[in-house]
Amino acid sequence: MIPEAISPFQQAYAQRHQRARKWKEESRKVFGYLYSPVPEELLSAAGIIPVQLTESEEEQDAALGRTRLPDFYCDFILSILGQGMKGAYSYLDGLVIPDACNTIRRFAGSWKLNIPTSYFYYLTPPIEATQGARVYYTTELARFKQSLEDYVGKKITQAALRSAIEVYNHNRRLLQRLYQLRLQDRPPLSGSEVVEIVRAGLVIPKEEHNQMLEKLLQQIPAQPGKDHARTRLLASFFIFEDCASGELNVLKMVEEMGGEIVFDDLCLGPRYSWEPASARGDPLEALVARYLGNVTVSFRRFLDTRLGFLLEQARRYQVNGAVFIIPKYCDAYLLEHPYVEKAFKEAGIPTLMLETTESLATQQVRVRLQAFMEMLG
Amino acid sequence: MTTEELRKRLEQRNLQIVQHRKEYTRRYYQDLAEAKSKGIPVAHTSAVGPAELLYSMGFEVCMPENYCTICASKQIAQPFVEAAEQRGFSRDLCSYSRCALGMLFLNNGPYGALPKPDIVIGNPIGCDPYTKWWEAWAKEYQVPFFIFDVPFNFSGEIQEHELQWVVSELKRLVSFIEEHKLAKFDYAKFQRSIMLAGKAFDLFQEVLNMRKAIPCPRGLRETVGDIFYIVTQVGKQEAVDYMTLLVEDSRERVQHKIGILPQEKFRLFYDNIPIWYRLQLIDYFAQKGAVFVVDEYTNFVWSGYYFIGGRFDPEKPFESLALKLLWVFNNVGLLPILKTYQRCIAEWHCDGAVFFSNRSCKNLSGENIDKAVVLKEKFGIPSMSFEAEMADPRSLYEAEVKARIDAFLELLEQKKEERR
Repeated sequence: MIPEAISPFQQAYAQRHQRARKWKEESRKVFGYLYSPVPEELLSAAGIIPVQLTESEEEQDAALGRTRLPDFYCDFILSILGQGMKGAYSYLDGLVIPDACNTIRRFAGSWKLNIPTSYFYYLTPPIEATQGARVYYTTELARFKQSLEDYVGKKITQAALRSAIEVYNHNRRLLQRLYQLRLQDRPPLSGSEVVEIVRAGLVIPKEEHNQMLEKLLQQIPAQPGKDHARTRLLASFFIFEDCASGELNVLKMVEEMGGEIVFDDLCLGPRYSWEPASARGDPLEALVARYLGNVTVSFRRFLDTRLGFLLEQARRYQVNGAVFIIPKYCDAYLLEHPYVEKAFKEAGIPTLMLETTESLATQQVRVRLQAFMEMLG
Repeated sequence: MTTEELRKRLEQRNLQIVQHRKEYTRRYYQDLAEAKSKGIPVAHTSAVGPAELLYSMGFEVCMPENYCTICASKQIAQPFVEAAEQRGFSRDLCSYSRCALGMLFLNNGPYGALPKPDIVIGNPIGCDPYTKWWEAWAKEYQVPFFIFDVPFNFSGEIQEHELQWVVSELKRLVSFIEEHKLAKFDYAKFQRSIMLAGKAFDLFQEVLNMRKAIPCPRGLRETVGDIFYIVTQVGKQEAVDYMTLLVEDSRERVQHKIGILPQEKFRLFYDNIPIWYRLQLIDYFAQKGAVFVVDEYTNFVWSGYYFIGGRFDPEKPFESLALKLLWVFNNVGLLPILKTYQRCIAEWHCDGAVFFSNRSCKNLSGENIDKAVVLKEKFGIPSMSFEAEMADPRSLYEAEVKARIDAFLELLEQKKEERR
């Protein structure tokens, strides 16, 4: 892909804090959130701009986070807390945290204790879409909606919610088109480019992201893919900041070595875009149906669900190998990994697991990646 | 009888209580081993069970987590954690899960291998491994796996829809068990189980309240053993009987002002899980006159609902159990935890707090720094911390920890002298 087509996405992400501060100057409300289980449509319908909290490129942010949370927590969450403590997120009016893992539980408490934030909501999304869970989540999302209405001082109308659902569904459709392009023998977009495109959408209003995606997708047919078929890889990440920014760029390393990441299961990538909400009927019920049982964080979904999804995509995208990047100290993913590795082996797909820390892109990782790529031929 | 004679008699009784518990524990594991041959179904669960429900349905309830504590305290955990690591489980993982998986892979344990389960039950209450470890466990044994879901109690204010969701999850567990033809549910038996569990929790709470006395009649070294009943035996008469012994013992001690230590100089709060393979560190505190009068793990992790003043109602057994699960303190947010700590410091007259930064329990250790800062800044309570893992003996640097303990107790001594 030509760099100019990707650069607006890169810029949107790089300037995320400046842009959010500008929205504040325009008297707009900005909320932070984490991961894919938060129904952003409700925030958007309340006139709030949701921005996903992400890891920074500055190592000192994680170091600051370590003054409150233990050093045996993942760098991702340490960095976010550190950024909060130093004021990088002082523009946030509120925060919505989903119950994604025990680290998030403790991060949420520490943020609430240490960083003044006028609105705070902790949301537990059910693991399974049972009847009892449906009753619970219907009340829970209604309660969440009510609390947002109380905060902004006005009702979220049915029409506003339907409109937000349509914007988000459109975003999901566009992202799916992006992923479908990677089915080709010679995908026009590299894995790292896709990550940068998806990531921008997490920190800007979805309407804007949709416009950018439409423009990009129009440009793509004219762009040829790489001139030769490369080793096709699936990459499974829990987050992607570590691999898409600064020196910590595993994806780009893979690409430099002749690999093509044709599929990823970033919890903010396809997992984020896979399912639309129904545009018919009661919009709140549509959101319940959309989010219930569609949780993608490891702690709150079954391993077999993830495995089934990953193996299906591995076949569909015809991958030759799979790279699993797991943040150091992540109990949920580390406990799953021996079984994931076994299932991929049985499916005839070689795997490489990298346990990440701040010093991920070290020579050692490069050597392991090289050996893996050579093995795949 | 002189005070010295009474002290000796009470010490003797304490030894008898320990002996009774040890024999009972061995018998319990023996019963577990023999269950299959007697046609009794076996459920493997995390330490939050729900034992009350499963016992009432005729299960033998096996908690591998408890087996790990025994394994570690018998100093035999290391080969098991290493066996799990050799099979691809990261050393950064919870050491209970590594130890248990190692026991499974090596088909061994403190009293032999655990019996094969008929069902494995997980939940998101305790931590990430509480869902993922048990999922792995069910895969290894190739038996049905069930997760009962519970929302995180972030604010300490349980909403009705949250409670009803947990009730529906417990009922779903009952249906799952019946659909798999493992056991049958009997409402009256469940009510009785809840009644018995409530009695045990009540009595345990009574002991805890008596520990407010100066000198303290029972310390952490004793309660780490007591919770075997609160964790694995709730819903059984045996738990009630054991707690009755403890109440009698503590009552007599309080009445005669005979503390668990010969000389009580410092009253401390302990945060986190005990170091099972080096419980002697608690003795090290005791040798210097420091007693842990209240602690997070034994006092409100398992019976947090009782600690905050809740009580079981056998007329509402599902709701009672659901509230207990919502108030397991692993499942509670920082702000309500801090309120509880404030109560502990004030009511149990603590001079200081000890934080175990347990690399193996990321959930319980996460907010140690915040807790220590709040205790110091709001309540003037000093604290010390040390780092290790609860069941992996390779993680402890004992000399360093002892040096910290010495320095901390010297600081408390200075503070006492300043007050004089």
